[in-house]
Amino acid sequence: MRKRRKTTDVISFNIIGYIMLSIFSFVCILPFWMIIVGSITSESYITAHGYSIMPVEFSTESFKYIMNDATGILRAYGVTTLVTVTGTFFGVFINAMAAYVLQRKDFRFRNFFSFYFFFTTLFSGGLVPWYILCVKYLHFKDRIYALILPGLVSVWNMLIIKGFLGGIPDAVSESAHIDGANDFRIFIQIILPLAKPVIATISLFTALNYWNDWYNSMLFINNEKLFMLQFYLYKLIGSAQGLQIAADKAGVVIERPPIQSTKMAMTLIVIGPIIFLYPFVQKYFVKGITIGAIKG
Amino acid sequence: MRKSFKSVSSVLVLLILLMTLITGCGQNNTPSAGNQPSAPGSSGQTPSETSKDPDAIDISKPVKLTMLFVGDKVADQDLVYEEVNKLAKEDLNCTVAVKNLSWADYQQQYPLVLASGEQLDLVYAAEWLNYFDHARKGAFHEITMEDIEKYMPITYKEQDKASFEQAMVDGKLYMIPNYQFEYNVYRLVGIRTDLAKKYGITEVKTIEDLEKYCEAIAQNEKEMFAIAHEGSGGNDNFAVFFRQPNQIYMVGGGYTIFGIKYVNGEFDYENLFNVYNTPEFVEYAKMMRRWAEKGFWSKNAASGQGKINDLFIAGKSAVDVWHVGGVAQDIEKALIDHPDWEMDIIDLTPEAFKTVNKFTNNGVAVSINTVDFGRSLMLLEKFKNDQRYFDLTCVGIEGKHYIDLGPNKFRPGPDANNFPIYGTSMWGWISEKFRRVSETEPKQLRELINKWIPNVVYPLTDNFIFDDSNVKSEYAAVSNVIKTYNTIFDLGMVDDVEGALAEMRDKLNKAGFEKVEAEFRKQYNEFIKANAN
Amino acid sequence: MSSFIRHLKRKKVLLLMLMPAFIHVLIFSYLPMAGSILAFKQFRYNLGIFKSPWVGFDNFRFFFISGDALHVTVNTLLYNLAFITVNNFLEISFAIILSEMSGRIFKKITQSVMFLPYFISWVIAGVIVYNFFNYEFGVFNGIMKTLGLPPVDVYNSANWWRVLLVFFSAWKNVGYGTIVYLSAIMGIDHEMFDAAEIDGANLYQRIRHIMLPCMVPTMMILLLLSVSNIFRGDFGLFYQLVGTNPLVYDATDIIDTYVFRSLMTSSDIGMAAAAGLYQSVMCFVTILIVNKIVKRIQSDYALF
Repeated sequence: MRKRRKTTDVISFNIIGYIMLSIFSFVCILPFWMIIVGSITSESYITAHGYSIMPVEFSTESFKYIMNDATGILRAYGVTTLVTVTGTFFGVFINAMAAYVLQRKDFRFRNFFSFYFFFTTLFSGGLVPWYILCVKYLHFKDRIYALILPGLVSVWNMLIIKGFLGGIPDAVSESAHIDGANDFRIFIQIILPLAKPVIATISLFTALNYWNDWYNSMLFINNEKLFMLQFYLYKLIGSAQGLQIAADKAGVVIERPPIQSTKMAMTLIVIGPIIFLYPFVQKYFVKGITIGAIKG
Repeated sequence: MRKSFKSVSSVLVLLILLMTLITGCGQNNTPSAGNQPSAPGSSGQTPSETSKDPDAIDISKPVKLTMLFVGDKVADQDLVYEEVNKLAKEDLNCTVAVKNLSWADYQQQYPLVLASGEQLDLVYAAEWLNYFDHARKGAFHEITMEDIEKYMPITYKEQDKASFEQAMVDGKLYMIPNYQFEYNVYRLVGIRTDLAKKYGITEVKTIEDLEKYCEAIAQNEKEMFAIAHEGSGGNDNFAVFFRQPNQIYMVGGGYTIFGIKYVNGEFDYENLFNVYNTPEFVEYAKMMRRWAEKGFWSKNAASGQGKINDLFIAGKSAVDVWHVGGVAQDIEKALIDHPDWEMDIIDLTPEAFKTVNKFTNNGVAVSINTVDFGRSLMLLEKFKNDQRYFDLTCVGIEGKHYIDLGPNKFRPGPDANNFPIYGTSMWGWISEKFRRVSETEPKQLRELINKWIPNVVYPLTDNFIFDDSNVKSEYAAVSNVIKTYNTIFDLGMVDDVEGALAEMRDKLNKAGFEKVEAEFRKQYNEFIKANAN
Repeated sequence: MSSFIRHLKRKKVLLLMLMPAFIHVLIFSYLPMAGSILAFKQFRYNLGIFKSPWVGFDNFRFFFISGDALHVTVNTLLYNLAFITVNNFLEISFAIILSEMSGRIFKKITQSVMFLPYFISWVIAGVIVYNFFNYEFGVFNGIMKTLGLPPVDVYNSANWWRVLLVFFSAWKNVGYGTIVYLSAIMGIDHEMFDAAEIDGANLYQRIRHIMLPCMVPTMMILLLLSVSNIFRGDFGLFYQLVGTNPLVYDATDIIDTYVFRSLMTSSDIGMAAAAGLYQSVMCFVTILIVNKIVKRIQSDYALF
């Protein structure tokens, strides 16, 4: 860690930094805090008084309601982890590989291919054709690959990686070429290590996308053993709301499960692992990429 | 640069055309409107059966059916349907798998699944799920009266033909409606009589009484709202304080604009009018504004996400608004948490006419992608008319989800919450014959309903559904305007009511209201001519 | 064409490396794209996408017929411009701060905390915001009361919403975007930085003359990608936060919410497709123009 002399510019910078970050962090954590409080507040209090900053009527009914189904939730965690890890690994690899090709100046038709990819972010057939394709022709029903495949390629991520890789001098690849390596080896052994920050970033984004996804589960999966976490938890709420509708239809007094506080608890359960893992990921955002060293 | 771009774009266009061609050629398995699909070997749907025994239906081929439900899967759904399939395999040589659409996004998912062409046999259908629209666009298999006679003989004999007429589109039937008598249309209020007494209000019988009650609450009870509407709750105002007192019945389904009046014991079918153009509506809007200013509900009521029923039970609303079953149920629930409260259900307009829900409120259709039309209908017949199937699908497994107390009665069982009675989409085949009533049902509910039953009216216009195909753009634009201004008037959000009405008329005209009205009146007049006797 | 094939043959390995992504996009993006003809058809379930009858531009009419189309389009555009400006400003600032500030633990914590809003769905956020800002019982007016100030009707105020929407878009997205810029900074050659420090440049000068210019390529990519979505709005943000409050529609209605409300009664697949196509075409024209301008200034930064 480099020691920094505490000159006035550094001090003033730090002050501004602390102030801005503190304010923004406060604004970010306040709602999150209210969610934590909400998840341990009794449902009747929430309905009567809304969400509060301090827990007033303490109750773990929401977590109890969720934990009724602990095995299901654990299984959903498992599915989600599997899908996230697989999807992120292959997805980032495919995107980065394509990004590398797109920025190789000796690949003459890269503009054509760039446009080919970019065009898809502008136009889309919409939900109906996509759904028909997936369900009818690709047989996406109740299969785990339905959760992994669609998210593998993200043009957005690809173009960001492409931008970064463009910053790596061509001399690096060229010298390796002269040494006899083919493009693929260059990509794996030289480019990827140099691109650690952007790969880490995009891996994080891809992983989060997969982790948070509930839409694909809703569209394609009917078997609750294959639900992703967000959707599985959503279903717990959904069946609670279904009970309310049933009550509407049948005129029967049914014990209504805690919905508001459960929604809060749900959010926490989904965020939980991420918050724990994130500090470990942070170390990849390390300074000092030694491009200079390679130059020599 | 420009040249390469031109070549790029031309190649791209070529690619897209290629895709269209390829996929276009592949799209030949959605049947066209003419031929009805029928799996080889299963009974077709032509009434002229040429098999050896004209009465026997061939069920020798095992069939796996798929049923589409709207609503998330409840905990014990798989368990129950395992039992159902045991019976179905024996009786009909078929099994059924249930596909659930989540409440999260069912409005978008429902047409999506219908459009995808995947195998579906029985489909929950309802007017509020745009059944008429989907039927017109060819989503469902036609069901003729001969089909019903052949595959659903008991239904054919026992279910009133009027219910089928309600579900007809251009004279053709596309779903089997449920056959129960629900009184969920009429709106009542529930009040806290203990609070009324506290402020010296002896009785709340009319709207004026209610206003006095609410004033007392608004002035003295600072922790609650008199009528804690939130979100689209204002709709109930439209029913309780405008439609019902003025004996107006809305016509045509979809986004409500036109109505007729009930005068001297009958419906005035000849005089269809735009409800927003009446002096009664102006009075109503002004009253709502007055109430909003008095603080009966939040200034921000339009943006809230709660429900007045939950707020009433939690003590944040002095008035509850819902249909008779709902209010009764809310009061029961509130008594559990607050046994010291006193509450009452009030019908503010007891002379107003009462109707029964349309039968098309719940029903079952058969998808055009069915693999076995006949078997699907036969299974539905079992659900509707075989007590074992009905009980399983609607109430659950005896001993687990409910305790049988005799015909049409039950008590919730130990696992009742895992399969809530009438929980999901089985509303499609409920019939009065087998419907079980819980012993915990509030008595007040039955009393009120029994008082109504002799006076229930059956408006002819329940069979009339507006077909917007010729004016769909204008209708969409008009609905947008109506929705917007409904919220404004129902929650009293603007001071200048007449000004807002003029604004609304102006926007409606820009949206093409004249065309919509002309088309509506044309269809309505044709309907009345054809049906009035 | 033959030179195309010859070149590809020579660059065989590169082509193979491109193939997985190419095929994926072909299947999942280009094949369904054929379905965008739905916008010009009257969809019938029994005929499918390709056999349903053509109706020309009929499906677009509902959007333009009331005369509100221009207004909601402009709203969408202006909000997105505000979001792009504010969000990128904050993201760049925070990235610079996080990379240069001292206080390792503080930085680690704030970086994680900034990420949290991304996980909070707009549905839940909407409920929390309503709890905070509603007129009679909201926390905000509670604070105003204790300070002796009159309560504010935030929900019915168009001006408040203009600010709040920008604020909440930043709240949700800045944590995410900061990381992109942060990794851009990580890629800067720190030899240059240190050399400048030795030469006497202070921190602000180093930031202005070395860091910012090195971040420009990333800025351009993100900017262009944002522009390519400039007529599409974050539906959840506008719908869940504002609710269905007609008094502020003038200020808060965007294409997505307007279309959603119009199509609520009729679940018409063709009309929904038409609205989507309208947005796509507007985005396409915009990005073509902007990309061309960028190409003229500095062709390296253009997207294609």
